[in-house]
Amino acid sequence: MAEKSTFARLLRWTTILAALCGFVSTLSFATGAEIAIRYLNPVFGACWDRNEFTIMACSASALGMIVAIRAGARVIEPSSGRRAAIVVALAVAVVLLVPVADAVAKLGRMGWNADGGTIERWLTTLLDYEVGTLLDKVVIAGVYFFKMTAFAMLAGLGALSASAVVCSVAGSLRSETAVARSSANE
Amino acid sequence: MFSIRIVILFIHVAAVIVALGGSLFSTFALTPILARELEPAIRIKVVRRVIRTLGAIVLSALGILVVTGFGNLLYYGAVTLTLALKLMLVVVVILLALFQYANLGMRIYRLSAAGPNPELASMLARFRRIGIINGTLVLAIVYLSLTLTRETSQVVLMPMR
Repeated sequence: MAEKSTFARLLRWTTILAALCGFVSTLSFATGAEIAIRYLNPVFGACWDRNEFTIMACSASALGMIVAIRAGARVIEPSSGRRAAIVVALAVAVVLLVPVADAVAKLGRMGWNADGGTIERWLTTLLDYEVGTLLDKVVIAGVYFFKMTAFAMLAGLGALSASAVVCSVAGSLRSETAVARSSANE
Repeated sequence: MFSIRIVILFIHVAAVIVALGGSLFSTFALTPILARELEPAIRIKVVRRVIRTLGAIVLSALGILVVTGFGNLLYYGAVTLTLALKLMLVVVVILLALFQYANLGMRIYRLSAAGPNPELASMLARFRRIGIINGTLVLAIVYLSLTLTRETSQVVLMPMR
């Protein structure tokens, strides 16, 4: 029971970590916060500037896939290797993280991206021009992040389907081996 | 004649044929015939094997559909309202298929190990109902996909930059 709760806690913290990394990198990407980091620590600021988009895309992919795997796993029967299916799906997600991040970064650029005059006008009217423009950039980056996450959720569900098959086949092989062994013993 | 785009599309369509064809054959041909022709004890043995094998085939096909779907989306290059609706339906179909085979199917498989059981009838009926719902949703997805490729005046929310 304690082991199960540790696993659940690990999953929850991985989800929170991915969301947090995504939040920070998206905010930094939108507001150009790397300049402030460069001011404090030039080497780290330069490194952050080079990698913040990659971190944002990887966080969105990880978050989408983990959320989809956790949600999808709820419909799997607990006693039929749900946990094994989650573990295999997470392993597949880790292996596919970089290709999925690359794909969702491209897919996220398609479709509505909040980059219109309406939101910007509304924000600059509601607040003053500088704050409104800054918030508009945050909204655009936020929408992009959510779209990447949504596309990654599809990848997560695909990984879970494949892992459910793997666990089912492995389970049936195990049970058949056990049946063969017990009949041989008899 | 041979391009990566066509190969991806071919695998995508083939996976749909396998998943949908398998489900429809099992629901409308195999199950009624088994009910008519076989004794309950033997029928249960066959049905539990069919559910397990079909589950592996359908869930694998769905995994392949997601991978090739990503490829198709990258080549398609735009997100339309039709595509957004299709993707939402895909999520529902995958979740329903997971419930059908990895939950209900597994329970039927386990319960039927000891032979016929009175609880099995209702579970099999539910399994069949979910199969029909999922099949209908997949057909709707196929229709939306055809609309995507044939529609000339589709509402493109914004083309790829």
